[in-house]
Amino acid sequence: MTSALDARLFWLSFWTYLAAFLLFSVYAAVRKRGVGVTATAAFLAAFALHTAGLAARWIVTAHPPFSTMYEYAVTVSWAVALSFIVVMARFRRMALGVVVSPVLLVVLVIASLLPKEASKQLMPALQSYWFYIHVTLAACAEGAFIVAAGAGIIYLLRRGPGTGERDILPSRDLLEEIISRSLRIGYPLFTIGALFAGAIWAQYAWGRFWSWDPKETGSLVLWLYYTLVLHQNVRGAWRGKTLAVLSIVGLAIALVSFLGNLFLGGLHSYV
Amino acid sequence: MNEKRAAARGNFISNRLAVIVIAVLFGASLAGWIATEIVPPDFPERGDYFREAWGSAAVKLVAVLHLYDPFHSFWYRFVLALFFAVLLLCTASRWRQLSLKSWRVQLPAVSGDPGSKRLSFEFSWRLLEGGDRGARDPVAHFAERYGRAESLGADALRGRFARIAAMFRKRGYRVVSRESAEGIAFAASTGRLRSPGTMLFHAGLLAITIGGVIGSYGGWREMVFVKEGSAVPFPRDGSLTLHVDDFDILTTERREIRSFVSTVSVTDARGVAVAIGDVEVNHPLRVGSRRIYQSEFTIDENEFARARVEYSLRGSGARGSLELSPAEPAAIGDGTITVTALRYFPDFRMGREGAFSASSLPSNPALEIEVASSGEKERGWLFLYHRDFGKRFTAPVDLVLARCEPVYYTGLEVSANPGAGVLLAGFAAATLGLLLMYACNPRIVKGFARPGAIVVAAGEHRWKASFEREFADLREAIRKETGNGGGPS
Ligand code: HEM
Repeated sequence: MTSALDARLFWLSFWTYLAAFLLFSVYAAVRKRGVGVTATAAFLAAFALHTAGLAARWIVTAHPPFSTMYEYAVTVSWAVALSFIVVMARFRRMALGVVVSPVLLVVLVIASLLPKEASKQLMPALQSYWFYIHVTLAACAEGAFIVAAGAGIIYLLRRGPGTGERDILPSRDLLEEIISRSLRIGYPLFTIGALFAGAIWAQYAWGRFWSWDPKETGSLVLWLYYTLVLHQNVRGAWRGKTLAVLSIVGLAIALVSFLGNLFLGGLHSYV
Repeated sequence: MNEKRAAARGNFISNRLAVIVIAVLFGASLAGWIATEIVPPDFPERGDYFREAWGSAAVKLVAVLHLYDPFHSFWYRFVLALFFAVLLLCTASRWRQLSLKSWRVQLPAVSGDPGSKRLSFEFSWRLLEGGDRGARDPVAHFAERYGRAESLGADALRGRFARIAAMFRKRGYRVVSRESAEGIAFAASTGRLRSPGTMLFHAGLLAITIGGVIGSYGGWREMVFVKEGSAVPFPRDGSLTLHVDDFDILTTERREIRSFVSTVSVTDARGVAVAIGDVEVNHPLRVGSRRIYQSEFTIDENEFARARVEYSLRGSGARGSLELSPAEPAAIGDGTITVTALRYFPDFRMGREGAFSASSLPSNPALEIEVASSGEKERGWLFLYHRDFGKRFTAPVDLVLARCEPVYYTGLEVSANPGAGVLLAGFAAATLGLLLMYACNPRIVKGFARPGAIVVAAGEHRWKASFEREFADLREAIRKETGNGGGPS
């Protein structure tokens, strides 16, 4: 059964995000504050529709929207939008929308390609609190990694360090701070949610903490990758441009490990 | 000075070592991940096929490197062991340092060179008073920019310092100070729980690794299939018996599967129950140090417990129902018609070879029966959910399947994991550590107030840009509290 309401809300939010993206692009080009404010308003409206769509899905299926890849992708994009709104509120840089909104659109397009059937009934193995903790935290972590990568892209796009005052794009220092903060929000969420809660859930569901299935291995690789990046970063290495590039590479690994189970199979082969 | 250098070098080496082992483990895991995508796990059984497809050199490489199961290969184990050793070494060597020193802030000397003292915040210290030491310290940019002297009259020193301390406290800093003849040395710090957090996190990882190793060498798992209503010896414990009283597939009204439940009891040699309960997916049953998990189930298609068939006799219109047991004829009415149940398929399908069951799930339950009437025998299928498709027999009776209970064999996995406790403790410690590490943003401002000058310098751990803003703000506040235009001297 596909619920008409939630699908319609998602499409509406998709088009509104697209409108916001176009407005952000115009804003980046003409640098008129009014356009930026309109773009931000469109983004907030799209986020409200997105939230309503998730709520509708939750009500229709009677379980939180994580049980299929489609639901998960929509939840991750919601986490990205939320992180972006937090970053924007904190740093007041509307131009970040030029990069974040297309990233969001890509995640939503990926979601739209996935099967959307809503099932009221979760697979028995998915009926566990640990599963909800696992997926919520992992989705938020991926949202934070996506924001880091978005800031990384702007970092590479911006020419010169920039004062960040008259420039429309944030200064490099600020971008680096956004990357660093996002990684340091994403990393603990990922560690606790994707790895620890995932392992505990697997122990309840299958009687083993870890099975080396491709998705688990993918998360381990991703985790080791970010561990390495943070460890170097805390030593004072891998900062600035390197950090920006690494945050983008991290997202690429995350995407492979997320989409991996579409063709890799294994325990996580729910679609 | 030498001591500090040696310590700094030790620190640098161990941090670099950490980065190296993490990088090596990352590379090995990535390689293993890719290998599992290329080489199927049944590679060893299909050697001939792959020799033909890939050539013998590639097959040999796969075999030697165990690439069909890379995470249990010697090289991956070696890398894990290396990682473990370095983590153990680092955590053990840092334990003392962090636990003893993380709570104490060292105060700068009011005169002289405070940089010569070893500081517990190795990474964060920004030097006092700029100068050439500041320039040599790669992280001393704050001092270069801001850490200059600000003037203050001698008489008001104590009062003014009290105001500064109050200002810091209001902003969530903890302030310690020491007064001497020369002036007041102070340190204001916040977010200092980060250090124990880091320690806890690394120790937690260590515990997780240890728990994992104990589990993989000391643990076991065994699958048993038990027919409903029967018992088997408990795996690896001859003194116990595992009984399965019942197995149910719970479904919703819309026939979606909700859960699988086995009603289980375990008895000892005297027949006394040591564990009784339902085993359900996500809800294992604990038997001492072992646990029983609901893992699978299966049925035997020639077996079922009971079936109920409703009949209506054509002609007389008499109706009734029959309870059928496998292969036992049941008579209708005066006994001229008998019905015998033959086979039960839970998920009936038609294929090229005839009927079969596509799965053990009761998606389309069907019962094959034989109807005997006046010496004639006929076979046909009845369907629980699709009654209209049921066989219309030439014998003058219409039959529909009303209920059928197959005999299930529940697949239970019994396992013991002696590492689970250590592993869970590790998860808990690492989680707490992570929360402390990332909730705390350690900043420290050190300085001294002398008649004639207040000197401050500060260190942060992560976000240079935002701490620069905060530090500028703090300087302004200090200036205001001291009622002094000040300015770098
Ligand atoms: C092997 C020896 C290791 C040493 C000597 C070491 C040392 C350190 C040190 C000194 C810090 C900085 C702490 C601080 O400034 O408060 C740190 C942070 C960290 N370490 Fe390690 N570590 C080691 C291994 C590992 C391993 C194996 C992992 C994970 C797999 C790991 C994960 C982390 C993380 C996530 C941080 C936090 C980085 C940040 O601030 O964002 N460490 N480690």
